[in-house]
Amino acid sequence: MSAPRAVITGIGEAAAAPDDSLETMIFRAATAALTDGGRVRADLDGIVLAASDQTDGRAISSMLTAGPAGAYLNDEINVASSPGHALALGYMQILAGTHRCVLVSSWGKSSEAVGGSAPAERLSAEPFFERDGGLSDLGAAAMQAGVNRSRDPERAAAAAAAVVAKNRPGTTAAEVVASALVATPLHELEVAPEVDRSFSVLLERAADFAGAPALAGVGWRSDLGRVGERDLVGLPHLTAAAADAYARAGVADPGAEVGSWHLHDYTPDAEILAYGPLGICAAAEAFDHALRGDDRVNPDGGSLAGVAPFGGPMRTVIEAVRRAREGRARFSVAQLSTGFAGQFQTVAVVEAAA
Amino acid sequence: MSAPRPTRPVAAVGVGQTPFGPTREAPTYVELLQRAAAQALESAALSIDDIDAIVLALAPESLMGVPHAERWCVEYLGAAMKPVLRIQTGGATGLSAVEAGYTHVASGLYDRVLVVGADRVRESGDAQKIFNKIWDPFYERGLPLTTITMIAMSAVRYMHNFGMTEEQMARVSQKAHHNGVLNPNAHIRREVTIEEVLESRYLAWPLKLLDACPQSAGGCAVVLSSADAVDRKSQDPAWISGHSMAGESYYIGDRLELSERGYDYGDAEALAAAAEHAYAMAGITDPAAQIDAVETYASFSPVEIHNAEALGLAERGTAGPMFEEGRFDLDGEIPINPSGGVICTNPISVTAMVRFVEAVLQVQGKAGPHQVEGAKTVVATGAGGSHQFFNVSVVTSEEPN
Repeated sequence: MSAPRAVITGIGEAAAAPDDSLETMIFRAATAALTDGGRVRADLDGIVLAASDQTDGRAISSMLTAGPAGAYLNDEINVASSPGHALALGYMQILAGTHRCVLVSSWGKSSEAVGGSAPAERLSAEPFFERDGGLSDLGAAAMQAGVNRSRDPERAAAAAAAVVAKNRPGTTAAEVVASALVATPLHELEVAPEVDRSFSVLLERAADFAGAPALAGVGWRSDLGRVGERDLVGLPHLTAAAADAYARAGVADPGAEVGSWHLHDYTPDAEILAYGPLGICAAAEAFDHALRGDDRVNPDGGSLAGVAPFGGPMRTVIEAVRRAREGRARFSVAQLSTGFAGQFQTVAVVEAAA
Repeated sequence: MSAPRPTRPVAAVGVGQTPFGPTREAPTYVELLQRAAAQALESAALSIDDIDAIVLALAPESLMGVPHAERWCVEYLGAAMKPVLRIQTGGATGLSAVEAGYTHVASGLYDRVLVVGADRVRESGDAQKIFNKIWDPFYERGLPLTTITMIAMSAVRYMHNFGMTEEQMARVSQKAHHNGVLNPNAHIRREVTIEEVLESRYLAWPLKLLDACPQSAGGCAVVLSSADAVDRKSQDPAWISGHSMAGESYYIGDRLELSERGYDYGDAEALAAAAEHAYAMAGITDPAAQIDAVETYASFSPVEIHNAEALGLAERGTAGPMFEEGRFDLDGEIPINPSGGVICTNPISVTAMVRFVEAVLQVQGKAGPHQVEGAKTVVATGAGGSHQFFNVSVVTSEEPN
């Protein structure tokens, strides 16, 4: 008998309907995942949340959000640092043998807040040195993009525009360059717009995974909090996270074995910078790779088409599972990042059913 | 469904606690993290380079005023390039974090995991003002519901159901304070008499000031290890033989009627559910006979009474008199909170982790003046949210089969 693995039997995604509360939106995705997996709430022996108090505007968000995500008198835990980390913990619960059926949920609903998530996000900057410097999600992303583009300004800008045109259907590279500059060097169309979404992934323990894709490997690593002290273009923590995930999944040559990559492209530069660490192409070839276009990368639009704050990167897992279900390639890869300029990186390998 | 079995055993091989006390006298948040982590690593005879992954216990970040503080704590913990994640389940956070660390090791992906946290509960002023805002703003916040009135209502219900008296509550507090005097790390270290408790001012009837926990600062850490990675020459493993967590409904109004299992808001039904699961993992079928001591998260004295019942140490409705009889004293049949418990120390992010660390020290025989003689199986519990999130860990001196 083969070793037990984590199998993804259900996925759910919900956009907020008009007048939906946060908990209703969460409930929709959780219910959708259970229905997709042919399960009911009573089948669950584990609930893993990725609830951000800051984004949800509550001192203990999971008090409210655990229930609609399926928790009531059953095992539940909140991984507050990243949706990628929540996925990792659910994955480990299955591997550990302590759980058999786990629902992992994340979300973001910033439409309830004036100014979206940015004002709250700014408060998470290190309070003594960086907060007063005006550090923000957008500012950190712009710093990263600035370093990236300084290496080869013309090609980098063209590559970024090409990625946006690929990931935002109906947008041309010329429109990207012509859109308003919001934080040098980022133009308005190079910044992922916020949407309200919730996501749920149903994991189960199985000795085989006939009929359902497996969560074959997950890796997650962290870099320093201070943006100024990090290698914003080399992304060594993403390289390490990918190496962990690939080793666990048995992926030896990602460029050849992976059929689709689903990346958290909060900017086009974030996508381009991930190519090397993930093995999509050599890091030195990333600009050219972006200019040529790779329809294996974010084939469903990516975060540039709209992302929910904090919990939104779970979209990449949902899309990877959908691709795996199509069975056109053995492996699909999801990349989730959280924090200023992607401080926390998670890589998940989804393996199609044999 | 049979009890789940982890794929491999997990041990605590190192623990660390700073002395707990008022925030104004405490080091900075990151220094508390570092001191606790350094102590845990030292007791495990390891360095941070030996650690494969880190779990940070950080409860309501509003208390320290920096949202997602896990992001800027990475460098202070030597965690760059390591797998790091943060757990937040309110007051239960510390034990939830231990459980997450346990899962890292039990999964087979990691051999050594550092679980660490700290709190400076009065960093943002009065924590109570922050906790006043955890309630639903439309239906329950206006009662006014606070973490004090929340427990007061539960106590009133329990009094109605089972005749608990304020004297019984005071006896719990008197016991806790007595034990706290014996614990060098406790925040509150002074004896109180039952009369002093009864004469202290009311916070919300029937809760009085000396029935309540303080607001503490301090740090706590645990090093968890796979059985294969335990160095028997330099480490003294304490084993996690069972663990579980269970959540209640958010709305307290939803808990006022009898549940399917016959519990109501006077009880701790989710704690009972978590205990049932953890005991099944640990092979505990008769808790009162098999458990040597308990470190339970009881932020107010009446909570300890219904927790004793939820944990199977007493029949429902009978624990109050048992406390009066001294059966849960340090020299009683099943000592509860030999460390003094939460009534003496409450650094919220790690309050539940302290319960676990004290359980480890007990089974290692290293608890010092508050050691329970011969303790081999000790239960630690956590609680958080609207008396909503409960977790249970069973710590044993023997490696589970």
